[in-house]
Amino acid sequence: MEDKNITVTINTKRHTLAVSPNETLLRVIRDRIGLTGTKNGCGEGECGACMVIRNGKPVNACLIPAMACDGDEITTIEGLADGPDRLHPLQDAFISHGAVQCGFCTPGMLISAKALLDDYPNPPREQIRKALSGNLCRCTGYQKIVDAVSAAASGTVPSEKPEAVIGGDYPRRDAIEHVTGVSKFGADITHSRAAVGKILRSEYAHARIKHIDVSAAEELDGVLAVVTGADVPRGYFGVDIKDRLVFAREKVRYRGDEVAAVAAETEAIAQKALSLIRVDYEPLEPVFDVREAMADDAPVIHEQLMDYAAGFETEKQGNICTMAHVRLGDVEKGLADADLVLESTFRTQIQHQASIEPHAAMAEIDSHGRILITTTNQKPFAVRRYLSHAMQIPMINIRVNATKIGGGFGGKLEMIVEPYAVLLARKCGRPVKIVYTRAEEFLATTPRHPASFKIKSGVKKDGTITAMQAEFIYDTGAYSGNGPTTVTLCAQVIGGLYRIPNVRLDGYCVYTNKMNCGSMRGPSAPQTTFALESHIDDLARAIDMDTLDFRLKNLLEPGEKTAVGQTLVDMDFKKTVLAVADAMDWRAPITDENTGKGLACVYWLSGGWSTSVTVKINEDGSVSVVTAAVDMGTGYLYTSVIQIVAEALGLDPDDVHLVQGDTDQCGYDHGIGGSRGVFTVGKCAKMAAENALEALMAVAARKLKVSRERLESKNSWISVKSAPEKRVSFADISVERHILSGGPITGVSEYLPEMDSIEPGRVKGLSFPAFKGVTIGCHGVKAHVSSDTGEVKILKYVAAHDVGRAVNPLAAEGQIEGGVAMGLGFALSEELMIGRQGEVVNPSFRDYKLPTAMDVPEVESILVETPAAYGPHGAKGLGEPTMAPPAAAVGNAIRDALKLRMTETPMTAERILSALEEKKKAVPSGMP
Amino acid sequence: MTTRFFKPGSISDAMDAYLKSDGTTHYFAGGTDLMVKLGPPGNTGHGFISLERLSGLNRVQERPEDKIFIGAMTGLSEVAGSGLIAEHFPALAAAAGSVGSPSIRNMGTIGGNVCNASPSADTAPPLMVYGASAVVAGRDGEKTIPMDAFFTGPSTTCLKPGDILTGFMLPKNPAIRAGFVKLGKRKAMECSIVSLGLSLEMDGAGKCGTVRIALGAVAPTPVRIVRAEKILEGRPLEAEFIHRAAAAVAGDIHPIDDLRATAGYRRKMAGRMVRETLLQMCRQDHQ
Ligand SMILES: Cc1cc2nc3c(=O)[nH]c(=O)nc-3n(C[C@H](O)[C@H](O)[C@H](O)COP(=O)(O)OP(=O)(O)OC[C@H]3O[C@@H](n4cnc5c(N)ncnc54)[C@H](O)[C@@H]3O)c2cc1C
Ligand code: FES
Ligand code: FES
Repeated sequence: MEDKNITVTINTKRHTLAVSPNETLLRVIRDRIGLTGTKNGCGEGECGACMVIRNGKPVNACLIPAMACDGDEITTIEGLADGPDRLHPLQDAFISHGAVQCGFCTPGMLISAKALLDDYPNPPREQIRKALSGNLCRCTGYQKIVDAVSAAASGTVPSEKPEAVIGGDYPRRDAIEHVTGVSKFGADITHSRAAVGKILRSEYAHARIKHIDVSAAEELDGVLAVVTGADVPRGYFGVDIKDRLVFAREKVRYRGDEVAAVAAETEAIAQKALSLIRVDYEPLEPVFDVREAMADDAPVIHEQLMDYAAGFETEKQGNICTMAHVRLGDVEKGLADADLVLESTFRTQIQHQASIEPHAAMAEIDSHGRILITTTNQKPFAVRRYLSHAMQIPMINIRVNATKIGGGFGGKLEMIVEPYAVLLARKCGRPVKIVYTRAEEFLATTPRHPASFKIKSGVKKDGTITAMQAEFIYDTGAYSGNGPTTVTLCAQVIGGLYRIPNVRLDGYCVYTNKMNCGSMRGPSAPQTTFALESHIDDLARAIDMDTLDFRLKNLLEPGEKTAVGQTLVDMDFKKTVLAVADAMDWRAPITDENTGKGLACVYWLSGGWSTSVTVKINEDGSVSVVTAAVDMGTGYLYTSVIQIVAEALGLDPDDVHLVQGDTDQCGYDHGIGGSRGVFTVGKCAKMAAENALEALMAVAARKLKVSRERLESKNSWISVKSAPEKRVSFADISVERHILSGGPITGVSEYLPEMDSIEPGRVKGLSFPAFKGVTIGCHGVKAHVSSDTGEVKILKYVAAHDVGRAVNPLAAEGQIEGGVAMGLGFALSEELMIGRQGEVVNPSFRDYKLPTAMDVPEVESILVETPAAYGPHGAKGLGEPTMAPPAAAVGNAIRDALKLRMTETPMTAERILSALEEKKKAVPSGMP
Repeated sequence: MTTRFFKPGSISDAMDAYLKSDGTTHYFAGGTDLMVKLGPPGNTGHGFISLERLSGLNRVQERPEDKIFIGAMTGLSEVAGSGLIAEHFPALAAAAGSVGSPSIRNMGTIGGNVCNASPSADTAPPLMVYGASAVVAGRDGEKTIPMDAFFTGPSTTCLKPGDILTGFMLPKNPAIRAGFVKLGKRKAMECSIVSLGLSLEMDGAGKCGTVRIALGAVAPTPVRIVRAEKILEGRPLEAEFIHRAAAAVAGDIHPIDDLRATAGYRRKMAGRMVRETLLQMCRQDHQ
């Protein structure tokens, strides 16, 4: 192609380079100049991750042909600071205000913010939100970003360190890497010899593969390898049920199923090669609706379901891969005893994690055939295990190394892109990198299960709930994935809030010909909370009781049992709910037209599973924390875990460093998700640090000739309590150990939080009992709903969570604000739509509606602290429960405002309006 | 095909290059539609002719006979921020300011928005209700096309191959009041589900004079709602006629079901947006 020389000035440095017509400015900046701080989140102008300043104005570098840029001046994130020690005030403010969570949107945000402040030195918050409205952030809910921009504008960026370590607002340790653009995410990993990998996906939702002909693709110039199912042993893998192969073999089960993959010199060649692969399909009847899929005559999606290995016992039948049951008391009698019985149905949509960072992995094979896979994944050890199962390679021949994760939310929990990169790299003998497009993200990753609920409860006039019967069906798509666990969690959640003596729950996990649904932030929690808390609200209204009072009467108290028989401890629903009611001035009547208020509570668990941490005292007395746990973007490792270790050892958090995410260098960790970061990894880190301290103390006691009990540790020194001048430093002890007596001082800990006990007699088919560390919350909303347009306007949003102990309140608030934003997306705008042929109708940020900075309200966060005996310093999990209540809270506010019960998410303006009209039709005017 | 990315210095060079290409080459303004649809040149064998260096296309200017010229290459940010446009055509400024995001408005142009001819192009309804004409440079010289006649279908206009839109001519009319309303699911980054431009001039005797109502995203092209306009013209701006006009909107539009909304919702909302905008003007009159 006709290349052309252009001269561009990037961050004051002139570059003259030959560019080809098909290069964008973004490509040139990232791949040619090597400035990977500018990100690619969509390539379609929709996310703002690629924002740069071009000739004074912020623009989307992904939409600009490089050839158009001759003579231009460009500023990227790397050009924002005056030097390594002279950050731009915005960068300082982003760090100190907790505006950085995963950090993937951060460069683009900072560029937009800088352009704003260049023109308007002191913008009001609304103007800041508008200026950032083209930059999507999935993590923060924007509030702390707006705080940071405001603070930078007004010159009020704090610089002092927090006083206490536990409970201190320490900024994310690696925030500086994110604000300067040097952190490496999946797609930022490069290799000079890397080939580009691309995947061919099924065009049918359900079809038999008769024949695959790859010869034309293989012959294309620049193609290095083509792989199909024939290149992989038939190794089944899966989370709970092993029902998936790397490539579809005899059958494809959804539009997007992997059929073949290609490695080539360039992306264009790889794309062309895909179009040359001929696949002969014999279409089969697809099924997309769960109820149809459950029918006796439904097309069977997995003929071998009964033969698949499963990690737990459950009934299976047809397309149903899990049946979970909970039985307590006598539901018929309970319903008969009620003054009133209410039955409701609810449905929720497919919500996508929609992390701004797409999946990406690079595979390299060394001369011994050993695999190194560098990937943006939440579970390095699980990837190693799955790869080993799927490809039948010994685990020791696989090394998984996690990059920074630009937002996980459960979307990067499973093995998604990794095996294709590995297979291609093995076949072509070169490193292979695969980066998903935004469309692929939406087509072929693991979003939230859509679910439907039928709930029937009985209540007495005095507000006593006598019985509840519920059926819930989770649509897991083409493979079981995390479906069985999601159904299990649903059973725990739905029976986890209220005192109900008679309960019957029946949950089903059902295959359909859609993408495999997985674990999105609180799998089952938003779905269940929407259904349950809407239903509970209606129960209260049915007996004319205030919805707050009804909750206060029925919410479980500490010491009481949930439906599965878990005894609740270390939590306080009442305190949490009353905190919200207080902040909302709940008892004050609302007089404004079409305005209402709503509450919703959440029960959730702090995840357990096994982990291990090593704490190493380095020669200079600094500390390295070695853990295979990664940080999926919340920052828990870089804030709370560092603080916990620093506190345990008695040193400055700045002296704690992390080594993480590498299966070769780190001990086992289950993988990060399930709100287990602080609760489980943090606890294990605390134990490891305490072990290291004891080793230090033993040396110190010997040196200072006093007993251990008389020593204390502070600021990296161990001193005699009664005579502080008698002391020895970590560095002295450590250097001696390194040089004279061999080996560093290390503290090691493995940890597997016990499962909580439940009553086994009450449950059947659940994939696990329950975790300790119940974590709860309550949200309150005041909203105006237009009866003319159906639009919902949030006037006030309060969210209280019982976090046990806020190790880092700034980070905790960040989880709440971000969770609320994501929950409001679930409530109001986000929906991945599936067409008649099983195609995703809206695989782009244009039509998958993530809330923008202008759509998310300001959130008032309340941190309630009822310490959990099990958590480090009493802390509990927080990441997931924050996004569960918004849909129900908003739905309840709509009910209050318009006497209208919404039963389906998202509650778009159009749906609200049509529900309102249906209701008017049903109830002649003049009736209540 | 000569080159995949060409930046000519004159309109005639641009046209020559266009006409020499075999229909695979596109004029490139801000590229925000083109790059999403086609990607950079080379991906599907297409080429771009940048209009960036053509003189006179990037300005907002007073012209004789009380007219204002807005160059086709004027960025949407400039349209939204221009003092002249804010003074005379505030509904157009609002529409331009509602497109996408700040960066999209920095790149996208008003000419591109119109030539792309999406039924939901946000600047189209206000241009139509302000009585704008498109000024077009063609092989046989310049022509002026009223905006009402500009669109011929989704993504098609009456431009002939090689024609370049140089800008819009808008008559100033201090007696006009106008509004722009956009309905979408988000407050930013949003393709309109329905967009409305509405202008109203009272006749001095307390009756509506010329009324222009244009809607986007409810038909294959942005459309004028003549039936509703006629109901109002010659009548006082009162609730009765406003409701009748709003009820008539449905008759002039042909919305479709798509992933953004159903036809029924669009129809309902179009009428309500017209009603609410007129009622608001009516309330202003009575304040
Ligand atoms: C993230 C995003 C959000 C968006 N949001 C909106 C929105 O809210 N509302 C909206 O209306 N649009 C929206 N758009 C679409 C787009 O930004 C606008 O239509 C923009 O105004 C197009 O202008 P442009 O200069 O970028 O056009 P280009 O992409 O350069 O051109 C568009 C078309 O017009 C032709 N063309 C351009 N100029 C001329 C000329 N002078 N003479 C002849 N032909 C010409 C081109 O050949 C091409 O066919 C959005 C786009 C993106 C990427
Ligand atoms: S990558 Fe450019 S806007 Fe998303
Ligand atoms: S911090 Fe904004 S996307 Fe993660």
